[in-house]
Amino acid sequence: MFAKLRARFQRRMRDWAKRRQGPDVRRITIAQRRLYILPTPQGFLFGLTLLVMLLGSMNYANSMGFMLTFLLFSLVVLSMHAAHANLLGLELVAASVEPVFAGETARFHLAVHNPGRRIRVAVTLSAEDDERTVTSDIPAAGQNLAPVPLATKRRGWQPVGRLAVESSYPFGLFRPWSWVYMDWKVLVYPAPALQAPPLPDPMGGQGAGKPNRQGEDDFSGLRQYQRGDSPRRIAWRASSRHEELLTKRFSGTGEQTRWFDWEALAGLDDETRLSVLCRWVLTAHAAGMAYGMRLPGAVLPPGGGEEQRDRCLQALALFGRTAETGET
Amino acid sequence: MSAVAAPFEFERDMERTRLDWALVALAVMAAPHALHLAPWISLAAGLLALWRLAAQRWRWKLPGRYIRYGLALLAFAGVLGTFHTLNGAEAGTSLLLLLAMLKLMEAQGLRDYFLIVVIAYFLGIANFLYDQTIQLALYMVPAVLIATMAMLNVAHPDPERPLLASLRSVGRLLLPALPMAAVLFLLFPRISGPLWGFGSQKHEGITGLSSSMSPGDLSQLAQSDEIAFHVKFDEAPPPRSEMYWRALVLHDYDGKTWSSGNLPWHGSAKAVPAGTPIHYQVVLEPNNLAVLYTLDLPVKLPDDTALSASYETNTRAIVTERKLYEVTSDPRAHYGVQTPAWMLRRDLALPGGSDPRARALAQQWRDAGKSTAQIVNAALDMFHDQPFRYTLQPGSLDSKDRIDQFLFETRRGFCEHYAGAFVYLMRAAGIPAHVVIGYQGGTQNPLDDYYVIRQQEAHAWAEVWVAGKGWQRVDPTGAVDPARVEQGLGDALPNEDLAGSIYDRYSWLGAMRNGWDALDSGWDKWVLAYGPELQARFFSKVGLDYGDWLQLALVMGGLVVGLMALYWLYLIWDRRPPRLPPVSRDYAHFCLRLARLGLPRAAHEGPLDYAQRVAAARADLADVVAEITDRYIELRYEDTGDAAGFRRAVKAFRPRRTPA
Repeated sequence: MFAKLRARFQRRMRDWAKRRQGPDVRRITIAQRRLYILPTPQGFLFGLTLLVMLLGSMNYANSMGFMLTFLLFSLVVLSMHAAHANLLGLELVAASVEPVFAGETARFHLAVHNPGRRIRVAVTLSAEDDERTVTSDIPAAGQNLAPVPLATKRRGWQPVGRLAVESSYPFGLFRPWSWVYMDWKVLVYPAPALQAPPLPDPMGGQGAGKPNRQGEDDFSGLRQYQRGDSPRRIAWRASSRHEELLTKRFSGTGEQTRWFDWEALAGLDDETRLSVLCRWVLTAHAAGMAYGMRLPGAVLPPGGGEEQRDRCLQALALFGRTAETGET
Repeated sequence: MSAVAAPFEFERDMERTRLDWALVALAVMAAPHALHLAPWISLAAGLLALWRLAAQRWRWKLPGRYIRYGLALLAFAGVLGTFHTLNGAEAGTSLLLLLAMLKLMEAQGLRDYFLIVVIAYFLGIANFLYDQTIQLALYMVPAVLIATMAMLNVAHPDPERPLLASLRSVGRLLLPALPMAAVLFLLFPRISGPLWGFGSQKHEGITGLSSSMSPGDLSQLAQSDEIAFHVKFDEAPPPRSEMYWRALVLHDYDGKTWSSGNLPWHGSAKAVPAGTPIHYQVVLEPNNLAVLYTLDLPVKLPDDTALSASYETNTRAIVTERKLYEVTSDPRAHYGVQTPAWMLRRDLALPGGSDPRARALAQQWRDAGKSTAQIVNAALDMFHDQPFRYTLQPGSLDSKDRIDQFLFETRRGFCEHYAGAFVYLMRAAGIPAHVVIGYQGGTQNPLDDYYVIRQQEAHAWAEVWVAGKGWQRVDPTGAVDPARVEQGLGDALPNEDLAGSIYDRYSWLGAMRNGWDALDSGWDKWVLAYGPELQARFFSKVGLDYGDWLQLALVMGGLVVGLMALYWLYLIWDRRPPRLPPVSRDYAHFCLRLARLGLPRAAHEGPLDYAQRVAAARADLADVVAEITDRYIELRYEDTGDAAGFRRAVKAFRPRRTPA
């Protein structure tokens, strides 16, 4: 009952704030009119304590009791202003967000800029649809990049939704916050299938139908780890000597082009087909192969490298979602 | 490996920070309680703290729920066993402290630790229930600072935050909070009387007079340095030998103890002024009696008091808080001329069959046909001429007939012995008499004109009733040792009797004591005694109408909001952007001029890119913009060039709105 009322109140409040503020551009300043503040549960507890202290001081006509009570009361009142000022004037810039596979956590990198001379402490950012938060101090006249986490579920464009900036610094008695509605989204690729059929044979291949294992055979060097690389391919020993993860690279024997064809996966449902295609793209990319992709209504010409991979993954992510467009 | 462990490690450090600070807050706030709590409670709290720290240090498992509940039950039982109640200041603070320590045993996360900090503040304010001295107030300043730092670190634990950073953050809030607290302290309406029952409970351990007197009571008080009250005379003070501060009249004697008895109140008490009235103010320390001390004899009483049949200044309730009042007295006033006979009979009563030798002596005087005055003088002469000694160490009187033992055997006594024996003799001789207890004398503090009357000035004297004249004061101690009345106790007693005389031997010590007394009495009078009376006076002084609550609310609210606004302005000023170097400011000026043409510089745009964009949009400005940009880059990034020339160039840059 209470929770229901509360949820309703929160929805009302959000709608009201959104109407009031209007949509946001990708760079906003936390101004007075978009900064809200309320006491936290701790704030209410402290207020109750002060009331008890006041009644006790009155009862015992205790001057020092009055003094301490009033001092703490003043402290609380001023800390409300301090909490408010801790967020006021911060500038938020949508910096970058990298595409992720469905089920992974997208990181919306927000640059939080503090134009003032005083450090802003414990500034916490979060997306509405994710419980997780990121907290950081913003140095005086400096900035910090906050990777705001957002869990993804399905492929396609996923908007960041409502972002909240808050901080209960200094005493946790008041929570000032600001809501930010940025026109900002992340591209979510389909989740790569865990069990995928073997890669199709290259065009004009030899010995069709045989499971192709050549990608595993000939080690040709190391390259930087990229998302989607199979953990089995990571060169653990070599990586330990470097700053970053390295992936083993194999030169397949066939330089021929492989075609990943939607039609070749007949019998599976659409999302599963996309997942399998996704896995194929990743496997082929990791092995440094050249490949093309055929989807209903779209043909991606053969190619290799990161560009080809990203092109293919984006096509998979947006398959059937032509209505949605947008830039990363 | 470390990548996996890091977040966990961080959490643990945060919890550790919270624990440390919560413990520190509890320790500073609970420390003064150790002076008056039962020792086992301090010990138990200390042990629990050590246990918790050790558990943190060596990663012991914390006690489970049943152990904690068991310990909590033990705490309740222990407190109940020690105090026989869970109510009241001592039992309440003991229980609160123990429960806070037990809470620490399971504390985890913001909410638990925050609760502990709140309890610490509570223990802090409870300190003032025992004692409101300057010393404690001074101790509480850093204590509040530390507890508030603890609140900050519990709310936002950061193992890497330096102590100084916490101190600064809290100091920047506490300092501006002081004036606001002062405003509230002065203006928040004070009420008289407690809100609920036990506000007026007797304070334990107050030294001072009581409503009875046995041998040894006052000589014990004479060793106490504690202040009984302060007095300020409006005009010239009376001579010291006339400073008899009347407290209580003792009528009944049971062979050992003099007590006030229960005298029915009646309105016959009336003083007839005969001399110059003396106006003065008194700041009375709590005395646990329903009586105010006034100079013999009050003719105009404070409000809310009444003169008893024995000319005591009675209050409605016992005095448990510092009290400020004004009195007018007349040392020469006549009083009790028309004392009813039944009251006089009461002041003639003696315990049956006691002290035969004293009775015989009195009978002898009576039989000789002496007048009242002659009998009084005979008794005083006896004290003066025979080897009586005035001393704090009279030895004990253990005989059944104590008066006889004192008058004829030991002859060593303090004021209570002389006053008691004198009254006994008078009654035996048929003269109505009673004992008066109070204080005699006082020391003027040269720094603030206040007279200080300490417990050691407690005194007992006698009053005899003379037909047609009423009650007359007789101080038999003066007959034994006139110096007691003329100069005070320190001069009257042999040195070895009185530890306090050290102040008289070393004058600088005396001066220091005077300075401290002035400070302490100022504190008492203006800070601690600040209640309805003082507040009313303060209001009338600053032109506020006492009792007009709307006006008061407006003034108080206005001042508080004003201070909040000032603080807010400070915060905005404190967070202003840093000053740019002059070259950057000039360049910003240049950009502003271009922005007015509809060509604002984007946040990400470097000076060169910007110049190119401007040149593309306004070919007519291309040359001058390129020149200024070059100069700027040279000055800003290569640290060479002509800054003054750059400024002139920017100042001269006044582009037209539209291309020429």
